[in-house]
Amino acid sequence: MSREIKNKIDDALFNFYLEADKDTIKDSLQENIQNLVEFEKMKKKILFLAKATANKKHNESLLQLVSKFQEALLLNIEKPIAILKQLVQGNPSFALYRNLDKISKEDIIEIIKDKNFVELIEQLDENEKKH
Amino acid sequence: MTLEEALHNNDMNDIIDSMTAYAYSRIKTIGVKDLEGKTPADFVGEVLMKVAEGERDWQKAKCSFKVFLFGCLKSHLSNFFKSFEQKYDAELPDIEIEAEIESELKNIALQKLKEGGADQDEIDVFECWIENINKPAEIAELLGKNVKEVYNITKRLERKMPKLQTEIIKFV
Repeated sequence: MSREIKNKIDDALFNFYLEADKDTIKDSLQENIQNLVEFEKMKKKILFLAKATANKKHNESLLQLVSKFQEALLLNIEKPIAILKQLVQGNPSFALYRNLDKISKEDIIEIIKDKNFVELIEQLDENEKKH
Repeated sequence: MTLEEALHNNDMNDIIDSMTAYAYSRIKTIGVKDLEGKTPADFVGEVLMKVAEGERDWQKAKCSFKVFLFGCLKSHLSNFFKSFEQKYDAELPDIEIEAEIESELKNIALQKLKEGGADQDEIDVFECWIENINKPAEIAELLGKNVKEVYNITKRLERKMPKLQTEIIKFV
């Protein structure tokens, strides 16, 4: 089979499983899985581990970011402070945090908690590399 | 939506079901028997852990969480089966096939499907795939059928793919 035809079959089956309804998926699993009770248990485990890992990772990244911002405020490092100012100014509900000199750890958590941690960490790391 | 929200908000049970069904299908289509002691559901678990650990960055994705996870799974399976697929791909022609030959191969594929017992509905759906119409809803609209019918036809057609692969490879 040529690669082109092979890829077309792959794409079609990808879209099929992506879009197929619950009943079709259920039929497919019943055809393939001998022990569905075990599969249900495994699913719960997969989801539990993923959620726990994501939460742990989230908390670690949050604390890492808070510590970086606190250090930047203490040492008056321009770029991280600018990032923090930008986040505060971009959200009217953060008006109370405009004075960064008096900002607490909890305030920083409040400001950054809904942001993309990966991007923030990358921005801060990039800044650290330059210095 | 953050990753934590995505994992909690989406109907993850259904998504894992769909991903597992896809993993079974992909493994069958590749034709590999040795999963090194793993089950297809293990690959789904591995993908979710990669996403949870941030190795696959959901925050940068520009699609739904389900599409993102499916893309990660496709890529994860391709990486795992790279050695096998390379062996298989080595049997495919290295040079780009001319349009005329490609068209001839499509005809051979259709002929082989018919010989393998495919009915007209299956042939119609396969022709849609060849023409790059590969979303069930689009196929249903084009063929004047409901999507559920297209799902059922696709399931029947899917069972014929491993045999089609082995038969048609003789012609390239």
